[in-house]
Amino acid sequence: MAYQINVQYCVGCQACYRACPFGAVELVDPHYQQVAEGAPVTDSHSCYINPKKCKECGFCVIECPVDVISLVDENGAPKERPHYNRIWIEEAECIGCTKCARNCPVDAISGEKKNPFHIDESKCRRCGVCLNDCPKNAVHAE
Amino acid sequence: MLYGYMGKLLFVDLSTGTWEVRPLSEELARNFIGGYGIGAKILYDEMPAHTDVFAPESMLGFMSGPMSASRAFFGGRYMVVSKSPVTGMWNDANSGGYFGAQLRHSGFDGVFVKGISEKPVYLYLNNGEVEIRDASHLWGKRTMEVEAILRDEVGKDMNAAIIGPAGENLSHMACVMNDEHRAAGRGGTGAVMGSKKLKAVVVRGDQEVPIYNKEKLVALNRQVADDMLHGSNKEVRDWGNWGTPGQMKAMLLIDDAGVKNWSSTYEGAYPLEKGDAIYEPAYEQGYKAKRYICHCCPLGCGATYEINDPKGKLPKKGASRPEYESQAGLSSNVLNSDRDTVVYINYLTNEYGFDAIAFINTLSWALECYEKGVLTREQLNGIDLRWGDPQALQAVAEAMCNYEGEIGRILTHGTQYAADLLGKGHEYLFTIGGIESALHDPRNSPWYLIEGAIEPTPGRHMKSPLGGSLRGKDKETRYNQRGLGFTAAKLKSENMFSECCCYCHMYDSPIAGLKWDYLEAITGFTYTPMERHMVGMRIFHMRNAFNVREGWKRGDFKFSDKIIGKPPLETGANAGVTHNVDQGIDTFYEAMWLDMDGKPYKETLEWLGGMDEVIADLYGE
Repeated sequence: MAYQINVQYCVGCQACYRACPFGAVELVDPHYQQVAEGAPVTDSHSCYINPKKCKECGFCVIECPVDVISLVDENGAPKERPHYNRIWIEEAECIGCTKCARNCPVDAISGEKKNPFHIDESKCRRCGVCLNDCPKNAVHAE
Repeated sequence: MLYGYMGKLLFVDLSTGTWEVRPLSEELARNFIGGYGIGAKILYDEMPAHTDVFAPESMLGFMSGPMSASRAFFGGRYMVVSKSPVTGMWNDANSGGYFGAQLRHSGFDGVFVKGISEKPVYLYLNNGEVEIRDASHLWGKRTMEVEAILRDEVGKDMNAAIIGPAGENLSHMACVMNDEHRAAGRGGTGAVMGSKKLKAVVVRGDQEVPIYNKEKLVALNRQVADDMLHGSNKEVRDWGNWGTPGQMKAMLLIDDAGVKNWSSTYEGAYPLEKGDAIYEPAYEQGYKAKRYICHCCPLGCGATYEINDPKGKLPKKGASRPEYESQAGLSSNVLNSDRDTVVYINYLTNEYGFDAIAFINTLSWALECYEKGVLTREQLNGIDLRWGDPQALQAVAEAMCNYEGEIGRILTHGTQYAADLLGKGHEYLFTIGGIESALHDPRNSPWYLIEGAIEPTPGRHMKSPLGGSLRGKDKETRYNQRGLGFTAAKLKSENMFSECCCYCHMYDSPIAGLKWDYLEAITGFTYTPMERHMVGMRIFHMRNAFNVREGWKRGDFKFSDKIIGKPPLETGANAGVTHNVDQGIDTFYEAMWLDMDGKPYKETLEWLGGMDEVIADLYGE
């Protein structure tokens, strides 16, 4: 799964490119001979989300001025963007592998290695990256 | 609820190190929109009349507009407002990039600064929090180095409005820089910031502007995007690939670009082939160029350069595509054919924080003065400054940046200051009210001169919509002064509204008919057609009243001889012409609801509303 841009309205304004914490957005710009592997062919500049790098935080969606970024599954079929009111780590289930903290785009997760980690709710933007990452399913959401 | 605004204005006093947050009222937002509209109202109310530009009571403001951070296309600009050290009157300057949007994300619509700090400081606005931080370690440093240090200090996601050494040294040409190569350039605003020992305003945060109708905003953006990608505005988008310097040759061909310090034309002194390396597509060949895009812009007319120039002076990184003004000012107007020199001097102006338009006009003025014996070789630090000599141009530019020797003393405050200091060379000035002209020849249309003279910020090409639209027309049309006053007033009103929204002018034709729809989608404000005109007029009148209260009257922003064609050009489309623009100014004043001295009628102010303080000051009630 990954987010995908409908290039019909994409003007390549780079809002998603600047918003992406994972470097998953690549720029396509024929005028400057800038290409991105796998990107649709366009005759002027646009943006492309590399599905291999996208972690589905959805920050790009918030920034897009034309609202053309949507979530798709492995087969390219549309998928509803998840919405979370709260995300937390169950201490008893967390093994302290650090993966969630390393990938959190807003540095909201902290803890000691091999000890339970916790999420600072004042920083958390409820993107769900930690939820997808956790190898022990210790991250929960509602 | 107030939509389209953060609803907060910050007021900082650097003398006492204190600050106050005040709510932004709906009335102020509706009447003055944002940008220099709100800025002018606040400075008029808060700053005593006749305040010296560098006094502690002098105020400096950084304002966003309703488009900022809304994700509206072309809404990426912000404004700096203050008095001008050049004119001693009202000044505003604006810039693109990301500072305007980030200012709002930091929690404020604008920040106003007064007082003078004892030591260098920077303001740090972070998600509604305010800090005044020591900037001793940044003082004396160039803008890009300062930006890099600040990113390390507060986080990569910050944006900053910064002054360079020019602002610290109170140069009348000092600007405010942001995003490395974006400049709020004109009028010497950077010097006001420097006088307060304020090195930078740093903004950061993730607060969002409440949008009245998000669906409508997205639909408007989609309409614009569709038209630019697949419809009638495709060519505009393509033109963005070349940026403003893409018009260089075309501007020469219609005798709009300056040649030989405005004393000639391409026919007379700059054969077209001399600029072959300057025009597109050659002008960035060999550089690794990457598109630069301001906040939510569907074009991206800027570019950053990576340059391999081991034997030259160009930096590996940090140079950017010069705008047309620099391109023409450093080529045809100084008879230079060396592209690298254009890019290098433009880069220097960004690094040191100089207004590029004033800086390049100062170079061309110095060239003519040297040729005519007004400036001696000793006064140019021993440099033999001859037309078109790249090394000499670079050497003088470097000396100006570093305040070296006589060049530093004479040239670093611009042409008007230099001529007044020397007591000669006034015949080579190309100014209105002491402000150097942009590289669009006002002799091409008297409306450039008329709009330039009536403006509270004189000599601005982006505030001359009628002059700009007459460019390249036949003589009878572009020289006509009759019957156009009301057209000029209508365009002026729209110009005021558009800039206060913080729209970008350069490529705003794709949204020209949609601007009020955008405003309605973002703020929920609706206006009748007459109210729309009144908004722009009110903003103009507030800026104009700021000057009238200072004692300004018609004729105080003087034309230099050369800018009105005295003596006339000998070649080109404007050969033999000396302009007298009194008729045009008369009709424009009438249409702007001003008396023939430029003072607003009392009835005008009453009708406009929101001008009670102005009425009291100008009419004693």
